[in-house]
Formats: sequence, structure tokens, C-alpha cells
Amino acid sequence: MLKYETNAPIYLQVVDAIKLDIINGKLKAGDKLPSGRDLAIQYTINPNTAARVYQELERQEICFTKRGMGTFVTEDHQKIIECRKQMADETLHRFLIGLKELGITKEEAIEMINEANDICLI
Amino acid sequence: MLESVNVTKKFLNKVAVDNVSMTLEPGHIYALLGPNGSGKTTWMKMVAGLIKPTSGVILYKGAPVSIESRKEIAYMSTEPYFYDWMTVLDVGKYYQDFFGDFDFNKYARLIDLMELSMDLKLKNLSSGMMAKLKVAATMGRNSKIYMLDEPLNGIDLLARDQVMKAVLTETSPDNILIISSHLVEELESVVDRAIFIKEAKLQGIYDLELMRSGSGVSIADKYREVYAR
Amino acid sequence: MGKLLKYEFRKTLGIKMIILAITAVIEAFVLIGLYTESEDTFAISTCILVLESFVAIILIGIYGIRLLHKDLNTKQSYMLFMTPNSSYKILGSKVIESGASIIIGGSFFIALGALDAVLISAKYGELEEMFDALGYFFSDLVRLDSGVVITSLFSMLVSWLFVITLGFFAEVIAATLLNGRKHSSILSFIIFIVILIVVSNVVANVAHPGSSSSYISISYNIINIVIYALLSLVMYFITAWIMDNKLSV
Repeated sequence: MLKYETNAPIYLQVVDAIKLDIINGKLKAGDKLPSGRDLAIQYTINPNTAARVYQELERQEICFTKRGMGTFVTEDHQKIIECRKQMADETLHRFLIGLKELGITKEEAIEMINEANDICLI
Repeated sequence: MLESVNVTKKFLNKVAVDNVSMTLEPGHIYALLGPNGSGKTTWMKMVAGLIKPTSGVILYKGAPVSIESRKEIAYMSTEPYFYDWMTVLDVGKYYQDFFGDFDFNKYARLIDLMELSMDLKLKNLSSGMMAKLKVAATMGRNSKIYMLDEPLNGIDLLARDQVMKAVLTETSPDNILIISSHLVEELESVVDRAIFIKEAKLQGIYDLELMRSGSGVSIADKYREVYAR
Repeated sequence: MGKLLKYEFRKTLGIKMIILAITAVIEAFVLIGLYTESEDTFAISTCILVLESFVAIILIGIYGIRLLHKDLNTKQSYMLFMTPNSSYKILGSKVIESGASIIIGGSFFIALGALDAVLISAKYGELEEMFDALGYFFSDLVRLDSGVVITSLFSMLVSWLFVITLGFFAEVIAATLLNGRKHSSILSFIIFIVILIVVSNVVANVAHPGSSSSYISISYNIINIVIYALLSLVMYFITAWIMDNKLSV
């Protein structure tokens, strides 16, 4: 079960969780997503929040709704790549802000990443 | 759909609910929050028609709550209330006998989901199992309003998940669901509106996602803000 | 209301089973005494059986009142008051259950007594003589005839039903005033005793002026039956009204 950050909107946290599933292939392009109700049960969230999750995913064009059929993962692979890029940017941004607060320069940071071979990156 | 109009309840030595006015709408899950003794239970019992207000009125679909409204308003008390000679099956039969909106198949599904079984004797149930049974019986009805008084009281984390999932599984957009609790964090993701009661008075009703996206305030933050002295 | 009745009978099943079991044990001693011709065993167990039958009928009534006490003052109250049933139905089912149990219980003990009498006569062949003796005894001493006996039995039943409805009333008043707090049993008992004394005195003095208690006639009994039936009805309606309008559970 997802552990929520309680002072940030929950729908955005679920949106991120689903995007992550799409990026790492747990959900494939064109896959059918659970109904709003099932999504609410799966993530233990309010059904209204679940509805909002799909609204947001559609707005970002990660998902689309076929009338009477349900919600599906986009078939546009370009979108998924863009999404991955965008989430990576956000993560990098947070990472850099954290390092900046510690007074670490960009060069030091690059060096640290190169040395941190205990973390399996790619 | 549910209106509390200037509702006050006085007992011999204290005011349990003090001039509470609010309107609740279908399609929402409300958290009814406040410390023990703040009047949550008394208010819910008035909605259930178990207690009569000293003044003011509770309206369901525009008419004062009555014996008739009990057909569409399901209430679950904190304490176990079933007869001690019953089995899990007997509880289902009892609800079937008295509530027109009870669906035995739904009940059976919930009993299964909660990992209980029909032949269990109530005498032998742990407090956690009893808490789950109460939820199964109450949510086994197809009511318009569900009120669960402290459904997470005295049960472990796994059972809490089962209870919250059961509640989500069985609600529909034309329902009002009211869950009282002092375990604020447990309700954080499930409810979308929070009613704060402080010393018998209504302190406010908040939209949680609005609060989180607007000012980054969680329900627990708000709780501390409201009740800290 | 059938559903409510069903559960009222279910709730009182335990005590009735216990009474039945005790009765069976005592009856066994009666039969053992009879067939082993042990006079002491027979005499003592017969006395106990007669005594037990009265205690049992009283106990069933008291148990019904205690049950209402539990149904008003414990968490069990939700089981009744959560359901979409008016208090007239909830209380009505309790009154009917008590009344029916008393009639059925009474008939059971009368039948058992008759059975024992038949067995005694089968063994000793003295039944007719015994009944003759009984008849002489009653008609000479108390001047009873069958009409008086039947109306007396009805009168007892109806006044016992009134006592039970009064018990219900006292329980509801106590629960309404004290709202689930302690001592409601004591308060209800005081209310019960006070009203019982007042009512029985009023009935004795107003309805039967000048009649002495040693003289019981059919008309005396019928007046009693009518008065206590009406009083039971009044108690029932007052109590149910209070439950619907004033009681918080």
C-alpha cells in the first residue's frame, strides 16, 4: 500500500505512482486501467480523489478514456518517453536543491555520483 | 440530503451537542473528528433516531429523522452490540429480518473479505474480529447514509486496511458516509471532507484535497491546530 | 412484528430450557418415589414440584422485565432500537412474549400435575376418591365452584400480566430519567413497588367496596380481570409512548 505524504495532494501522489508503473513497464501502452472505484480500493483513496487522478492523467495525455470502455494507458510511446524525462527532471531538481542546501557544488556532486557505485544506476 | 439544523442535546449535567448546523451531501466520505466526549457519538445517534435532540432538528430528505428514516440510515456503534448467543450467520439473518436494504450476498462477500466465517460464535471472537463483523453487517446494507462510529478502534493495522477497503468497496456516489475517529492519520487518504467538533460545537467542515493543495495542510495538521490549546 | 416476537422467544429460550431441565429432574424424583414406594421421596419431591411451578411462572415474568432492562441499558439496545420498528411494536412483542410464555408455562405445569395424578391413580386406584375429597375440601371451606376456579385463574393471569407491564413501565421510566447511568435497577424497583401498592389498594377499595378478601365470586373476578386488563393496556400505551418520544438509548 502506498504511504502518502499527508500535506501534499493525494491525487498527485497517485498520479505519480501510476506514471512510474507506466515508465517501468508494469503498465504497458494501451493497457486498460482499473475503474475509478477499483482504483480507489487499490490505493485506499477516496473515490472522488480517484476520479481526479484520471482527470489529471488525461490532462497530461498519459491516459485516455474510451466512452463506456474505461480508461487506457496512452498508445503514444513518445508521450511515455516525455513523461519519463519530465519525472527524471523533477527528481534531479529535488536532488540538486538538496545538495545545494548542503553547500555541495555541481563538480563535487558529479564526482560523488561517479564514486557511488554501490547504487545500481542502469 | 442530511441537514442538522441548530441541533442541541442536553443531558442532565452537560451539553453534549451545542447548536450544530451543517448540511451533508451524497458522494462524499466525511471524517467526523474530535476528542472523546466532544459529542460525535451523540450527534450520530441523533441522526440514527436513537436519541432525540433537546432542540433543533435533523432532516433527512427534508423531513425530520424518524423510525421511517432508519430504513435508509445505517448506524454502527463503537461497542459490540450483537446478542452473545449469535454466530456470524445469525447476525446476517438478524439484519436480513429487520432491514429491507440488507443484501445477504453482499454480507457474505464482506465476511469473506474480512477473513471471517459464518460458523464463528460471537463469544469466541477477538475484539478485532468483532470490529470487522460490525462493519460487514453495517456495510451489508444498501443504505443511503452510513455512519461508522470509531470503526478502527482496537484493531490492528492489517484489519484497518481490510476495514477501509471494505468500506470503499461498498460505497457508491449516492451515499453519504460518515466515519468518526480519533485516529486521524488512518482516515487521511480515504475521506474527502472533515468535520471538526470541539467541545460540543461545530468548528468547521474542510475539503481535504483543497486544504492540501492550497496551503499544504494535512488533516492531522489541522487537527493539531484546532485542538491544541 | 413476527420477527421481533421470534427474537424475544429466542432470547428467553435459555431460562425456559433451564426450568424444563429442573422440572424434569424433580419429576424424575416424583416418579422414583412413586414406583419405589418411598413415601418421603414422593412427598418431598411433589411439594418441591408444586413450589417450583409457581416460582417458574414468576421467574419467567421477572426474566422478561430484566431482559427489557438489558435491552434498554446495555449496548444490546441497538439491536432493537436501530431497526425501523416503533416502540409500540418493540414493547408489544415483549408483552405478548411474556403473556404467551406464562399461559404456555402454566398449561405445561397443569398438564404435568394431571399426568402425575393419573399415574398415582393407576398405581393406587384412588383417583376418584381423591378428587371427591378435594372437592369437599374446597367447597366446604372456601365455597368454590368451577366457574370461580376458572375466573380466578384468569384473574391471576391478567393481574400477573399487569405486574409485568408495570415492570416494563418502571424500567422505561428509570432508563429515561437516568439515561443509562447506574442505579437504574434500584430506581425502577422503587417505582415498581410504589405503583404496585397504590394500584392494588385503589383497585381493592374502589372496584370492590366492602368486599372482604375471604369471599371470592365470579363477578368479583370478572371485575378484576376487566380492571387489570385495562390497566395493562394503559401501561403498555403509556410506556410505548414514552419510549418513542422521550427515551434515549
